[in-house]
Amino acid sequence: MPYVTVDDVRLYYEEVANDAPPLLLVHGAAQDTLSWRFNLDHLGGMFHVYVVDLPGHGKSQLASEGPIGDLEEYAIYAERFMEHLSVARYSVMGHSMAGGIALHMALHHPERLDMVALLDGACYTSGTYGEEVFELVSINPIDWFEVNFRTICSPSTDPRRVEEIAFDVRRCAPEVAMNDIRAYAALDLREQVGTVMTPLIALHGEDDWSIPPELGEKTAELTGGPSVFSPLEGVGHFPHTEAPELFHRALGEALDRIRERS
Amino acid sequence: MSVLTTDLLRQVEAELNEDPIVASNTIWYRATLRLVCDEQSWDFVVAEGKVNLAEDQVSSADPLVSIRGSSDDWRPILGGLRGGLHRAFRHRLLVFEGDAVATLLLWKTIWRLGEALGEAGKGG
Repeated sequence: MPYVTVDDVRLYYEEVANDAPPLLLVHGAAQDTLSWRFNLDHLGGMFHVYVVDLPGHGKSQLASEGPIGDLEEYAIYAERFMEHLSVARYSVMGHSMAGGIALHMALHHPERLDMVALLDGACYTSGTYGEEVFELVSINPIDWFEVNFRTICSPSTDPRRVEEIAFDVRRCAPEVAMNDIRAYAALDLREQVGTVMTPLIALHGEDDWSIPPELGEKTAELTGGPSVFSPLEGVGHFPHTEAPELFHRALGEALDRIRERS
Repeated sequence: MSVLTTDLLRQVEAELNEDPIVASNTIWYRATLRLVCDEQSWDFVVAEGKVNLAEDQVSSADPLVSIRGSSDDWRPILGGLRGGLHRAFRHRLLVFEGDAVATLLLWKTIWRLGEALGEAGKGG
């Protein structure tokens, strides 16, 4: 199994190697590489794909200072991960909170990125996570997250897919899940995102009430470079798992549109 | 007049007691789940894998969890709002009070309660 060590933290990754342009996939809060399980074959037909488990997630080691509670810190790990693999230029796709990670990467090193893709991600939150929520959730994060993930899928999603999404979150350590939502809750890059000139795609499930599509659309509007916003009908917060074929089709169309605009 | 009624909550009680998620969650815990709508309240006694609607307000040593709001606040839950009571907590549509530990240990039951209210509300 492939691992790289970044700042003394062993990170697990998967790779679909070919001669196509590189694409880094970054999972959302309380998830890991497994969340892309329905997408690797398809994306591997268009990109040389790298998928990483962030520190403390999946098969990656926890950072020595403990669970990370800052999206910018996650972004630095992702950047260093690609440096270790000697990939100088690439695109990045982040799901949910990792949309914020991808935007931090675009702000840090625009010269490295060909494209940023947000999948139900945005440059800010809907403000539904206050301190009183964290206090209560910290008592039993895993049950709370499981219910959260189940309810933010679309009502039309195949129940078997919902079970798989629930399975993903139950595998995450509670303290890591808690720090992920704290990190996500602090996300607000509205002031900075106008300086992002990297082409940006925002794909968003229309039935996502956790990070509503309006936030993804607004992010696409605020970014300084070319952008495409693509809403996905009948899909919730996890388009790549809930409706992989629809997600792949929408991504293909969005890539065509962003290339025309770039 | 309150949008929550004893008849509706009897339907919810029956629904909850057929729900395997509720059964597996409530087998481990005891608590009173109090629903407050306008000036009225109803208690669900949670114990030994069952949820029972009490005729009167319960006075017991079990932890109390209260979910409170006006008829306007409860109406979206009865209308089948996606995310139900879980979303009501995140979006502060209703007030969750009482024993915090019991609230979170019974979070799956509270979620299913919201779904059952949505079903009963549609049927009504």
